[in-house]
Amino acid sequence: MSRDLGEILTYIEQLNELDTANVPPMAQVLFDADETATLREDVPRTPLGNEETLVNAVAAAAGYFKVPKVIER
Amino acid sequence: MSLATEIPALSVSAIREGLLNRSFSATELAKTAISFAQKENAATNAFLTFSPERALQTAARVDREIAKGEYAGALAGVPLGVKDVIVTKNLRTTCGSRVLENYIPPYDATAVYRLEAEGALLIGKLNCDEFAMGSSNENSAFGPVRNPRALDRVPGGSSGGSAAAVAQGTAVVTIGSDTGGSIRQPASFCGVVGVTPTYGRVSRYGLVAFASSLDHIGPFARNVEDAATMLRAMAGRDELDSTSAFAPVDDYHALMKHSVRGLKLGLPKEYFADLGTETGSVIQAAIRQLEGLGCELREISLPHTKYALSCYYIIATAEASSNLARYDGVRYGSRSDGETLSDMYRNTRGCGFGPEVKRRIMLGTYVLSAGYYDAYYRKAQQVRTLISQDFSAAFEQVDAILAPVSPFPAFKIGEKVDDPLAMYLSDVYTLTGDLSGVPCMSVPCGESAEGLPIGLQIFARHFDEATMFRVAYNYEHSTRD
Repeated sequence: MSRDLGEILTYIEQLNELDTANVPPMAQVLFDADETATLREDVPRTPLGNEETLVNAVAAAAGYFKVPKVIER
Repeated sequence: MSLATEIPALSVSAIREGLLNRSFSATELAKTAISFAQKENAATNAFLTFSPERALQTAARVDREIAKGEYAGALAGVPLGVKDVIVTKNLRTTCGSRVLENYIPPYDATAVYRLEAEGALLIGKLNCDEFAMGSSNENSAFGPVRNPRALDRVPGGSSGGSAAAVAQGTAVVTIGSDTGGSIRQPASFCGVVGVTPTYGRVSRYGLVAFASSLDHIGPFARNVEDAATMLRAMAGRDELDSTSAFAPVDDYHALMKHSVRGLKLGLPKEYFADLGTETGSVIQAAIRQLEGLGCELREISLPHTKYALSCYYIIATAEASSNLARYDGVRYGSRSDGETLSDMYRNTRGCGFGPEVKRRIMLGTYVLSAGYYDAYYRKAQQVRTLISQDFSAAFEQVDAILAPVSPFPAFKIGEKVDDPLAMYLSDVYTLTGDLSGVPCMSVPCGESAEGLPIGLQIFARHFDEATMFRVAYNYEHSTRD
């Protein structure tokens, strides 16, 4: 695993061949739209119920997810 | 002719015709298709889960609508398979991972919802590389998928099951996801049509996130028309995905049938430089065929192509390391116990994830870590701008771009598993489409001497899937005459 990671890191060093001093970074593919275009109407919706939310948890009780103890007494 | 013998070659339009002529009902078709798929699946391992009840429920609705003379939807009665990284309500969704082996989603992905609303019959969930990370489907926790065209070979990946099912005839259409080539490369390896639409064209609500700035959902089909029908059914704004686009969805079927005479097609020299191979000559023949239809060919340059792989493996792993943090054994997924909370997290992730997923999480956390962020992650984002600008400049000169999908046809199972970098290089021609967000697809264009399928890649401008389909459709039909 560490050999693989080493090889991959060496390979990606090739990006240093490029001068990107004045190139803006691209975080996302963006298209022209109003600043608020992606906001929906502020209408309340029913979220997933407590029972449905817990159904995939390995350990749950009393309406909560259970994890190993984190607080020392 | 019996329905069972026709199943492997059915198309969306043939099914529509059969239903309207009352040659068969959607219920009969669902039953026959599922028992065929269940019987044949052992050969390829394309399906992980079958969902007969769900398919029969939709089929009953379709049959009622047809009986009443109502419109039953653009995909009425069409057997559909869904890649197992796309969630389906009350139907197990594993992402090809041990960590989600028993995960039952409480909701449907928008793409699935829309396809079923158009009458598609969801018959099951399809095998894939774990969390869509891979190029051969060998990274699935549930075993590799075999290529139906050559059973000792990979179907490609990560949507290997989605491509294999369409090629094998166990599903008429399927959907997959593409982050670096995961739709087009398996489509090419299995000899089917695979489409990666414009970024934002299809809602990703319900697609289990790998690299959110690169993830796409797209269709597989046995012909261009069916792929366009699928895309049209899924495309369009969804308020449940803030990255889904508002751009109107074109009438692909009307537009794709226009002649390609006079269309300007770009041949990027960087994609052909190392292609003095059999794949290269098959691609060249396809290009001549399009030239014969009246397309005007132009050599173009996408100068930053060779940096795409490095750029991609920084951005995709960085995003994946963040997205996969959620598999902590608490809210869903498997858990491996530990004394403390940290031990539990560590054991869960150590046992739950396979080697490729771990490799990418480690690489992603490394390139995002303090002191390396600018050198790797920010640098890669800047190079992504350059790659994207290459496409914008090219599309000022041409209407579409032609290229190979993969440097070689399907390789043997096991051939590249020990060399991650060699495996990554099989995506070298597909990564740029995801990085720039332009629509792109693979259309079958011939075979190697050994009979292995080869795909032609077509790129078009953002939201111009219509031109991409037009080139693909005209090409496909010119080879049939």
